[in-house]
Amino acid sequence: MPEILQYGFMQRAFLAGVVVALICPAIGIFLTLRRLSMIGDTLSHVALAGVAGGILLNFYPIYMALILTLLASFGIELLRKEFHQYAEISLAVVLSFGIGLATILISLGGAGAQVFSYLFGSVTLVTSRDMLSILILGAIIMATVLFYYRQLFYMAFDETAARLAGVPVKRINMIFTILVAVTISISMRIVGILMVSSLMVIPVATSLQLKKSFLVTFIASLCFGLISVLAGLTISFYASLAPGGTIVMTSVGILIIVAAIQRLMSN
Amino acid sequence: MTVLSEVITLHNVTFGYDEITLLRDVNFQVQHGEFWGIVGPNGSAKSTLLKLMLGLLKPQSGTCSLFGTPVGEFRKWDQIGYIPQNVREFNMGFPATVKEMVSANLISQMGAFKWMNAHHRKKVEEALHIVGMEAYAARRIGQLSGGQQQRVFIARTLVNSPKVIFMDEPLVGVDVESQEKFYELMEKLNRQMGITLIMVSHDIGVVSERTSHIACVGKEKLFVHDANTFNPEEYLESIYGEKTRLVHHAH
Ligand SMILES: Nc1ncnc2c1ncn2[C@@H]1O[C@H](COP(=O)(O)OP(=O)(O)OP(=O)(O)O)[C@@H](O)[C@H]1O
Ligand SMILES: [Mg+2]
Repeated sequence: MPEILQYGFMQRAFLAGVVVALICPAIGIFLTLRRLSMIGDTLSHVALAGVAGGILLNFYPIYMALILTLLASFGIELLRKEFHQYAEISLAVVLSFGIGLATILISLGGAGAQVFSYLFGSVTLVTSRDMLSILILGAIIMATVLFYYRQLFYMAFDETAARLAGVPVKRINMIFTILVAVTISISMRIVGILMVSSLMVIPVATSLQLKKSFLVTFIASLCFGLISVLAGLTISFYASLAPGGTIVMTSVGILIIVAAIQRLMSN
Repeated sequence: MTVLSEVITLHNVTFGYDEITLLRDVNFQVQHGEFWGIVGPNGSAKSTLLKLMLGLLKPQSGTCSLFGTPVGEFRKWDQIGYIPQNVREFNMGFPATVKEMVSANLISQMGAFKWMNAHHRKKVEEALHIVGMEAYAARRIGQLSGGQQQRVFIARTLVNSPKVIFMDEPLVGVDVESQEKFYELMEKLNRQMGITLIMVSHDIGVVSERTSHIACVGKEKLFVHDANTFNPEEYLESIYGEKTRLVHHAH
């Protein structure tokens, strides 16, 4: 066995990493195509408040983040109805609330170092409990996305037509909102709060470069996510760097390479 | 005529988005097999009328029915095709092939897991064949011309074997040659396949030649005409005043 896999914490990090690498682009592709990728950013700022609050109250931070992001995502839906022509406003309001609350909570207690590991991701600190939460919730997310794959695809292209074709648009929007919140809460342990939304968007941006069918784009974005996380975790281990940074930089690297190859081939 | 052949019924429908009433006490009926052209100036509520018929908007008073069922309780959406006005304003980079687009509309006919079976695949092929786009099945939708996209959207409604198709200005930005093909296709759908057609258009001259009935929207009302006795010049005068003359394009 290579050295990197001999450590229990690395095994946990890789296992959890694979799950995160698959669910982030699987959710991200629908967010991106519906031009809602800002939601990822917004909810991750709220997740930060959840983490800080959890540490302060001695409550499992991932679940605290989960509760807050779920509340926030329904808050966004409500505000969206208030400002229905300006969807971004509702995002900006919730993002400000999240970062404001997080700042207050962090400055209240001495949780700085621990918050740090959630901000930038961590490999050494992934506990068995973290891994189990990520595995179970991740499997539920993936199964739900695959179950509603066709409906989500149709809604991303044309929500009105989907509704007329018999897709229960309201219910699926609700379910999808929950999926986004859960994805962010469980992914932040590995990639870090600041980089969750990048892992949701960059592998998707890379696979969009291929200009293929939706199915190919979907599968390719999962593959690019997987490569980024596996390579990123390995680099993070050998270079002692925070995994969030190495994962996102790898995914950006892949994006640039794919875009360049695509440019060369079309010339 | 029997009640059964009534495809669309509006009964005393009144509607406005805000205080301004756009339609007041409108009564309207479409029978099976008819081809209706809906005309009217910009902002006269043509698109609104279509959305009311489809239940996408709710009337302030009155009722809209499809096949005799109030639209709120109507469930057989596979019998209805709708091509909205902004249908071709989609993101041209959207990663979807023609086949994926057209298959999506079969969703209500698939099982819980939405797998495509041989029967579904055949339906998609047939729909693409009717509109003459089978050679483009694997192309990305954004790579097609406007007229080709138009035909794909028609195929998307055809996979479900609809009984009625609503089209909101389907010919905007489509060149004259493709328009000719479009009307040939409409004739095929209407005459051979017996599909009832409702089409919003600004090209009053062509509409009066091709459709069987015409509804003019304006001044909170709907004025219906038989296409044979409809006089486009008179209609334009009533809307724009005396000076305007219909410019006849030689197609
Ligand atoms: N969502 C909306 N909210 C408020 N008012 C609206 C809305 N949609 C349309 N309107 C108004 O209702 C009126 C009718 O609009 P509608 O889109 O039905 O017109 P139309 O006849 O289809 O016009 P066009 O020929 O430009 O397509 C217009 O004055 C428009 O400004
Ligand atoms: Mg209109």
